[in-house]
Parts: sequence; structure tokens; C-alpha cells
Amino acid sequence: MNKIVWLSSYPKSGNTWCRIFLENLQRRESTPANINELSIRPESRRSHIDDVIEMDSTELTIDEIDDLMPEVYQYWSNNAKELFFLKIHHAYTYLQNGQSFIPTKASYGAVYLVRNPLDVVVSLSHHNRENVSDSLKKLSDNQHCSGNLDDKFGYLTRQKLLSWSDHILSWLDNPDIRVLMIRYEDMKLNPIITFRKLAKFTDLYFSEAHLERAIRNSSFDQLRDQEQKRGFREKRPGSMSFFRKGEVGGWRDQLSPQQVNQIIEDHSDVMTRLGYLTPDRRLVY
Amino acid sequence: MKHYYFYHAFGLSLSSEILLKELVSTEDMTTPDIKITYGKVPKELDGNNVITKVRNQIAPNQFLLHVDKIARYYACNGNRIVVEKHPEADLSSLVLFLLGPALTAILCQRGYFLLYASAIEQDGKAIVFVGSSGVGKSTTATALVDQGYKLLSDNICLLSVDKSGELILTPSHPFIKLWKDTLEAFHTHRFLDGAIPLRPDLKKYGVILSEPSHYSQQSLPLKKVYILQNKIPELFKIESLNPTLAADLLVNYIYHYSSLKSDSKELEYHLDICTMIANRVPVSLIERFEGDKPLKESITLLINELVHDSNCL
Repeated sequence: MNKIVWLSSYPKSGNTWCRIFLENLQRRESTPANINELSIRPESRRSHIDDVIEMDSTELTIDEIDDLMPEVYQYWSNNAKELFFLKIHHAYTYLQNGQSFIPTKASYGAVYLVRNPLDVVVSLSHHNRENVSDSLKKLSDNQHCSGNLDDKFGYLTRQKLLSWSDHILSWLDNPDIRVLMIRYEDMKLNPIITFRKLAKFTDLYFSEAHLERAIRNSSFDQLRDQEQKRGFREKRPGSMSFFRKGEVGGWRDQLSPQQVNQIIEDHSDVMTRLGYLTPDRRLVY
Repeated sequence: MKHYYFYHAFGLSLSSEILLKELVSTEDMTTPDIKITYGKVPKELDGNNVITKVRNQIAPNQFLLHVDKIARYYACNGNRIVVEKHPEADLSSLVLFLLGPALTAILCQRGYFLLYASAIEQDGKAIVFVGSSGVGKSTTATALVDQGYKLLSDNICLLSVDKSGELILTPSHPFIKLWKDTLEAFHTHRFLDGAIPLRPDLKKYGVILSEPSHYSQQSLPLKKVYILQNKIPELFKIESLNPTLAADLLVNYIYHYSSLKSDSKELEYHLDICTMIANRVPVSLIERFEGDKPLKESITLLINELVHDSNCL
């Protein structure tokens, strides 16, 4: 019961970085964890789901899979000896029967990662090899889904993302499980304070030296260096790299004033709540 | 009086109350190896040795599966499948899960060695493509059938050791499952035209190979194994594996490897077969990046290698 710590976020908000940090924090060796052998897995990987449902999930519709997932999470939680992390991009949604997609009895809590949507949109367009305007539409689409949409094979099942704002509100305001909200910008600008908060929330044992080493071993330069040498299996085919720039405020060289205004227009409430926009509508990062 | 259809698959005879177009028909028989009927299915399995997962239960010689709004399946003793149909179920979905998890459970109950693999015939022997879901096993096999090779099995391969100690592949049935985009990207219209949706709301298709030149139902000695893997480098790589590494890799593709761990005798048998395969036939690893283009390149190189091997005989 209650063994899953969700690592939840809208895509391109630092989830993979966070996974790699936790991997390094749990690691005994002083060398950096191999980014291609991460034990913290995405919850929507078909092979793991198939093991539990005793069926080939590619022979189920995406709605049938969604109906099964709360039971799959519960099974994983019930059969775990200790707390474990699961990466998730699903919004906190409900099935048609009113049941929560994220079962309360399987959940220890959630680390919810957020990032300035102006940087998210730029990162998403590079990741998906699409125009910024297409990524921008996705951020504002409250029906948006990613992953496999049942017309071809995908290693991951469908993930209901909703819009960027709705995704965030669905998790932060969920009535059932406790959530620690972490901002990408704080991970970047105040790593020790931020990662310490994250590690404490997850009940992991660590020393300060250990924490600092884990931060060093998951630095952006380290990750990019590993990707350049050995590649990264989670990179989309055709995209240049997964660990591209990782900057705070990188959007300033990439977005037009109209695109910036559009994002602010669509997401101002949540941007203000998270500190990305001041009450008088000035951008913080 | 109930009407029964008679079939052959995995070297076994089946009688079925349900029409199974995917299997090869055979003549009437009095004592089939497996009997499939409609009927009442137990609500749940009792006993100490029951593993309960999500909407399914496994016990020694028993398997229970519930597919919402389709059917409940009960497979037992390696010879009997009972199907309790949901009133709203469509027949294609019902058959899909019958010939998938329910029939495979029967094979496991019989203690058979099964690999996640597809296989074709070359020069009277079996060439096997091992790999996880989505890696391109069925696509590779279909592309080779398109080149004139005969299909032996798709997705699950049954291997055994005969009296003389030779490794033998027993064919499943002449049916391949493919996604529509793969069918369009890789195969000629003769396969596309014959493709039928596996289920009403699914864009995954089934192709029944009815031409005898496209499939073989004969058990054949194993000739070569290719392990297909999607990897990070955007380069195609094919390499021969030494027996130790080959055996270690093959273990990952044993059907239901995790369930076998609770039965040490069964597990030992399965690990022995992996070692036997690795020691007796060449095993190669094909690594490539995911996507249509690398898959097409790997298939072209594979065809060249098979032609070369055949010419060297």
C-alpha cells in the first residue's frame, strides 16, 4: 500500500533531470549514473504493463488501457517492498466511473515539477521537431494527449496531458494525495536547497556530501556529455539531442513577442500562482 | 447438439465450438489435445498457489482472465479452454484473446518452451527472430514472406528437443499481426488487401496467410537465431554472439520468464534450452535505432545475409 512516489510533470519540465538526480542520490558509487540505465521508469511503458495484465496491451484500445491502469498501479504498489519512484506525465484525471486515475491507496505522494511555460514551449518544439506555433497550441489544448494514440506501435501508452495550466492545477489541487511542487528554475538556480527539499520529501537517507555529489553527477554538462558520448535512449528519433540547453530564460532568443503574449494570455493565472508572472504581468525569468 | 470445428496449431489438435479462421482446419477427431467450449467460468481461483494480478489469476495448471465487455477465459490442465462470452462482445475480440493469452497459457501448462519470436523457413530449417514487443519481429517475418520465404510462427515460437537431441521449432499458425502503418510502409498490396482489423476499434491488423507457398506447418530443425534490439546509436549493427552472451540474452525473451521463477524445475528446463540454443546454432544480435528507415535497412541486410548463407550451403 502507498508505495509509489510519483515524479509528475508536464513534458520538458525537468522530470528526466530529477530522475537522474534521484538515481545518483540512491547510488553508492561515486561515479555518475548511466543515463541509459535508469531504474526509475515511466509508468506508461508497455512491457511492464503487459506483465501484469497478462495480455499484449497493443491489442487493447487506449480507453481499455486507461481503465486498467489504476489497478496496475495498485498491483505495483502492493507488491513493492519499499517506496519507489514512477515517472508520469498524465494529468491527475478521473475515469468515466469517477475513479481517480492515480489510486490514492497506491500513492505515497507526488513530486510535481513545473517550468516556465515559455521555456517549456521552446524545449517541446525541439524535442518533437515541430514549429513553436504547434507546440504552443498543445500547451493551450485542454484535450491534449501524448504517447501512443493506438494507430501505431509505441513503447509508451497514451498520456492525457490536458493544457499546461490544467495539468498543473489537476495535480496541485488534487484532493487526495500530498504534493511537493518543485520549480525547474529553483533546481537550476538554488540546487542544494531545492534538491534537499525533494530528497527529504521522499524519505531518502542522505548526507550533505552525498547530496552535493548527486547534484554534481546530474549536472547539465554531465548529462549532455554522456549523451554526446553514448547517446540517450529517451531521445526522439531525429531530434538533435535530449539535453539541449537546459537554460532558464532561453525562450528570449527563440519566441516572437506575439508568441510570448499568447502564452501569457492563455496561462496568466497559473503563471502568476507559480511565480512566473508578477501581479502586474511582468515576466520573472 | 453442439457443432465443433477442428484445427491444428503448435503441433496440437484442437476442437473448438468457436470458429477460428486464423488456424489451419483439419479433419474431425475423437480425442483432440485441446478442447475449446463456451461455458461458465469460475469467478476466481482458490488455493494457496494462486497468483492474482490485474484481472487475471494464475495457479498450477489453471489460468483465469477477464477482458472487460469481451469474455472471461478459463484455461486448465493444458487441454481445456472455457470461454464465457459477454453479451456485447464482438467475435473478433473474443477470438483474439482466446488465441493469445488463453491458448498460450495452455502451452505453458504443458511445460513448453516458448520464446517471444517469429520464425520463417529457409532450406528446410527454421530461422528465428527474437525480440520484445514493437521491435519488428512480425514486420521482419512478413518482409521475408514477401521475398518467398515461408512463415512458421508469428510472435510466439515453440521450441523443443527431439529424441536425437536436435532443437526443433514447431509452427504455430499462418497468421501475422501488424500495425496498419507498418503494413503500408513495408508490404505489398497482397498482404494489405487481405488484412483485417484485429478488433473493431483497433488499427492493428491480422493477415491470414492462406497461400500454401506463404507458410509451413512442418516442424523443422532450428538453423539460426537473430535477436532484434532497438538501441541508442543511430547505426545498424549486426554481430555474432558468443554462446555465453547469447544464452544470457535469450533468457530475457522466454515467455513468462518471471512466472517461471517460482518453479525451479521448469525454470531449469527453460534455462537449459537457452544454453542449448546458444551452443548449437549461430546466434546474432541486430541492433538498430527505432523507426521505419532503420528497420527497412536491417531487413535488406538480413535478406542479403540469408541469401548468402543459403548460397554457401
